[in-house]
Amino acid sequence: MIGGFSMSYVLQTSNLTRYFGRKAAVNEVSLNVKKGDIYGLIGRNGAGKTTFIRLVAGLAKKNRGEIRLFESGDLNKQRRKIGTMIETPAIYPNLTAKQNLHYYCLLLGIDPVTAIEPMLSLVGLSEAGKKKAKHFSLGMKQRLAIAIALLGDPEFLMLDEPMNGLDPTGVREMRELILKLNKEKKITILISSHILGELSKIATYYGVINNGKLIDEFTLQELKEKCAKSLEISVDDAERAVEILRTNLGIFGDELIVLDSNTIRITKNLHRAALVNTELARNGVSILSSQMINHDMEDFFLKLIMKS
Amino acid sequence: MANLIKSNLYKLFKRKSLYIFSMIYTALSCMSIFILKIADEIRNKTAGASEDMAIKVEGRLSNFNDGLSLGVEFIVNGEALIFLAVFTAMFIAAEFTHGTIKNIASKGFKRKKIYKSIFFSMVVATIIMLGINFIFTTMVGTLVTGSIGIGNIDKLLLFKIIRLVIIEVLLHIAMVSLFVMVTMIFRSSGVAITINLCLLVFGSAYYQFIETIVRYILKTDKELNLINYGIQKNLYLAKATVNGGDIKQPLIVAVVFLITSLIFGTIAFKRSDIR
Repeated sequence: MIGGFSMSYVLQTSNLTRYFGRKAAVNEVSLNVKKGDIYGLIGRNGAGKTTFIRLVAGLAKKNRGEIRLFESGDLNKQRRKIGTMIETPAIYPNLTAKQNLHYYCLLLGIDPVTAIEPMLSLVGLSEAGKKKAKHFSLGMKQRLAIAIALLGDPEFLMLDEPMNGLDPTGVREMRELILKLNKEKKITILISSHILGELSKIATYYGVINNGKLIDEFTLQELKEKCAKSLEISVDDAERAVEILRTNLGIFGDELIVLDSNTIRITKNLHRAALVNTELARNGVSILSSQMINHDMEDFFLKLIMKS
Repeated sequence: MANLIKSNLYKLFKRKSLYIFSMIYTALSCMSIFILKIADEIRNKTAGASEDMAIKVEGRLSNFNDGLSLGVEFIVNGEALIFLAVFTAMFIAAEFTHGTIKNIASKGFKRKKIYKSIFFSMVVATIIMLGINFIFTTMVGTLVTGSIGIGNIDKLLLFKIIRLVIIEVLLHIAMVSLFVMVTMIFRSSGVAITINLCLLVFGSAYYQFIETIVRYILKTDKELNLINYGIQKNLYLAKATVNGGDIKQPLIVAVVFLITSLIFGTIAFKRSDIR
């Protein structure tokens, strides 16, 4: 609590814009990240995710718009409370994990004696020993980079494609680490990726960015609903089928969607699929096909991109 | 700022190339002393045998009767700058190549302070390199000449020698400041090493080029001798301060180069994105 107001937003941007030449890499992005969220920023390669994070981190200059961190405009001061991992893991290859952390402890004015060991243990690098960082696997480098970002107990962590190039085990470990940081250390996280399926296992809030523009935002619940299973039935007369289902089975509202004159979609109570088909057939509606559709997250993402 | 300096020094002292470069530079300087000694002996043996030969091997060592003057001479000759040009480019460009500068800048440190701390660590590297060289060349020089030279020096001369060393170190730092500026602008070790070495090797050509342009613009035939205001020239000119030469010019040159490159470097770093 500061001045009687609880800080509910860790990041707020308003019409944030950055041009490279004539092209807007980030185009009027207005985005809010609430305290405690894991915000998934999703977009294709070159969509503007990294530029957006670099603008927030102060590594690139904005052309227009506003950035507020922890509801404050004093960005340099607030950036002390942020940890970042942008693109490739930024570590000193000729130093060991401990030496890398020692360097950043000195930079941030933290006691290396008390800070290094717990941090190595948190990211699972306690056994790294005297091995130099240049001999680490990519997964170890990513974890070391996260350990560096976590020094100084940041309240907000920005991770740019942290799972890029990791093998399935590495992806899983990274995911578990991110969730642990969010749940146990209460760190708000902004994580970018171009794979929605991957983000859906972590993020609680999503923003889709394409050609520098933020084209959609939704919660995890909304994503689940959008990508939930549904029953798609092709009939000879969709209008009549809807009428029968409304009257006889009480299927209304969002539960029943007419896709075209011959196709209807039922989104809830899918266990009644057999009953729906029987009822339609009993009332003389010809069923051309009836199938369960599984809406793939990637398809959903691609449709969003195409629509924009 | 103190944290930035502390962390940069930690990184500097962990850098093996600092010690390797210092060792190579010192070994070459010590080797030069032996070469001068041999050349001196040849000169003595052939003295009077052939006038041409005597001119060719006019020994430098005969100008130095003790270890101390040899130690000072190896600071004055500016050969350390070759190693500093390469080391500065490697040390600073690595921050950009490895992306570690992102970690520093994203922590809210002001760019001006980051630049200053990097420059400061290069000042320390310069002093280390020159210091190690001075100690070893003085020791080897003492062995070769049989005298350290301290016994012959009165207080006034000692003061002048210390003053000379300070001016020389300052001129080295001014040149290093230029190297830092170049590296912070180009951010690639290859490009920065090339430009830094070109600044050293073709230094006089740049001054002549600038002088030609200035004379063309001013439409004058008067010689401006801009080369006399270059750092390398002043490394030699400063030597005359021991014998009553002008102290102001080398000092002003050092300060002007130092401040100008610091200002330009900081502005360039502040204005550009960090990738």
